[in-house]
Amino acid sequence: MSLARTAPLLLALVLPGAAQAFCGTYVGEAGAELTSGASKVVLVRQGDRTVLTLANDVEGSVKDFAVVIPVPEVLSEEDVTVLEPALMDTLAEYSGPRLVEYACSDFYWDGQAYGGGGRGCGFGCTEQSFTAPLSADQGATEVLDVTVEAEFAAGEYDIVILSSEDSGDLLTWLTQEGYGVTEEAETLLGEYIEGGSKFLAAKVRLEDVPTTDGFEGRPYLSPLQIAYESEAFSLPIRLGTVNSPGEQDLVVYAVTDSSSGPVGIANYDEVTWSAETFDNDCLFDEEAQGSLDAYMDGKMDQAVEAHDGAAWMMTYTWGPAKCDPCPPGGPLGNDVLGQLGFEGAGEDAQFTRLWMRYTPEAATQDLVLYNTGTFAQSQLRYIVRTDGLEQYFPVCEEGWIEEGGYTTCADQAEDDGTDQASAAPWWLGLSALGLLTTLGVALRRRR
Amino acid sequence: MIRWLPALALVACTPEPPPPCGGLAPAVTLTHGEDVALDLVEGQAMTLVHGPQGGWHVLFGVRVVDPDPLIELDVTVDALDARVVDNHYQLTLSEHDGCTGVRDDLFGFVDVTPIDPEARPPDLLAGEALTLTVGVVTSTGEASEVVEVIAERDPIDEPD
Repeated sequence: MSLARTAPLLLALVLPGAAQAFCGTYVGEAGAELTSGASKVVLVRQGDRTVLTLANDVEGSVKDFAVVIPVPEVLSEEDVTVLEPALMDTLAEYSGPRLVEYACSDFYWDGQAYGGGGRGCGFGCTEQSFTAPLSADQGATEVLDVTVEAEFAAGEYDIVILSSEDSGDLLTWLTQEGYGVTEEAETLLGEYIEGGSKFLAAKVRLEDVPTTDGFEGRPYLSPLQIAYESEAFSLPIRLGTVNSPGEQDLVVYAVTDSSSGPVGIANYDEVTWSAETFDNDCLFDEEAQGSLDAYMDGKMDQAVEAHDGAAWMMTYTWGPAKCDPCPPGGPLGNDVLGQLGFEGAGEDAQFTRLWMRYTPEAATQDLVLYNTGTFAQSQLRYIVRTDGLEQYFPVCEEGWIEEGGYTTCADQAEDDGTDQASAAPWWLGLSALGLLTTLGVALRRRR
Repeated sequence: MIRWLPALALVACTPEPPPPCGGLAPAVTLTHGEDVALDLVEGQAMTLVHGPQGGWHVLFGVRVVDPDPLIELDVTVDALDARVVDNHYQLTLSEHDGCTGVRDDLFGFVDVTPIDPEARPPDLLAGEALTLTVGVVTSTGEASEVVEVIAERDPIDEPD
């Protein structure tokens, strides 16, 4: 059982008049372990301005960490900063696949089931990183065509902004300075140079590496944030495949103006939610079906294989000022959005979480991102399988179960002699129905 | 009863509402990426834009006639018997007036690895014909357009 479960809030109360309709109990964030080794980036895009935040998870020693990022313009000290890693955890918790729990009382009142099939409740209630040992040829003294355009510190990082007209010289410079870029990257570096790219190169200043609290604090690296102007809404992923050991996971958290709608990827296949591809909003029994992480991992593997080695899915999109059900931390505050680089309030923003998996061979293109401009709110969510809920949700992998094949909520109420009305406020169901229309267009099937 | 007569007369005389967009069938037109008012035309030059974050791009837009601004869009570019761009979108048209809307912020990443994994797109494609195909699926129907343009180098890729 790999899920980081939170304390179950089995008796969630919804007060009349509360703006946020609650349906079901948030049990935990699924997929945390699944994507722990993934590259995680935050892209805030407003007009042509992009604020990119890279989470720098390192498995080895932080002293070996170095990063080279192509950027479209010379960045100044004001364009680069660091964030607290906890911010990335906040985003993961807010938008990660949800495991939620319902009871019959969420759907059944006074002998009456709510809603057409009850499915509305859930919707309605609502581095590029080059790491290598320091093995540069420090003795080289040749004059290289590399210009250090700017040099400054940001948090524990020493930053240099480089320009060059010669990919070989740039490669040599980076190698001499301990960035450990492999020769395989030279062609790509050349392509960036010819396109006018500058390069942000960062190394860690060991004496300033923060550590976790506690007696034996563990060193960690802060997420690195850069801001720039670029017409192309793109994310370069190819450099990261140069010395990739194999399949990679990428999680993109995108924040855009609400009028821009969720963000999509135009040039890789999307995995849409369906019983045939990637179940969502279904009953999951971890005792019988194994861990949810393993289940999702296997499903994504199948999807990637079916799509020639690269595929993505939108696992969450919502206005960041809201969520349903909300994780313990609630929705994202304006302070969080501000730190990510978003200018405005949460009510004016759209948050999208994309999960992509790709092999180096399949990742021959950088990501072509686009603003859909649509209104959508949807989330990857699984429901703890509980007796009676089969009438409201399909079972993951099995689909809808014929009536009679399970104990209904009505049966249970009759057997128990309980008054379901006292357990569920009647307006909860109406709220669910009223908001049923919020089902997003993101679920529309590709082709 | 008498007081209902005007209302009944009004109902009786009200003509059927006109079909949306005057009954026009869905239509899609490829437009210039930087100026949506300009249609892409046969034989036109199309720059292989060398992106400042790497890669080569073709910029394009679309103008779609349909009462529903929510569309699915497929754009492909074929050259030298290979597909070098294959994009899929689900999006909402902007500046939609109830009948026609546009998007001018689209681009394709030109991938020539199917032809030659080691080659640079401008070296392979400059001067070659690019066949752009756009297909749109709307709530009222489908439409498509094919335009053949000629690839040209980005000025920064011109040989010295």
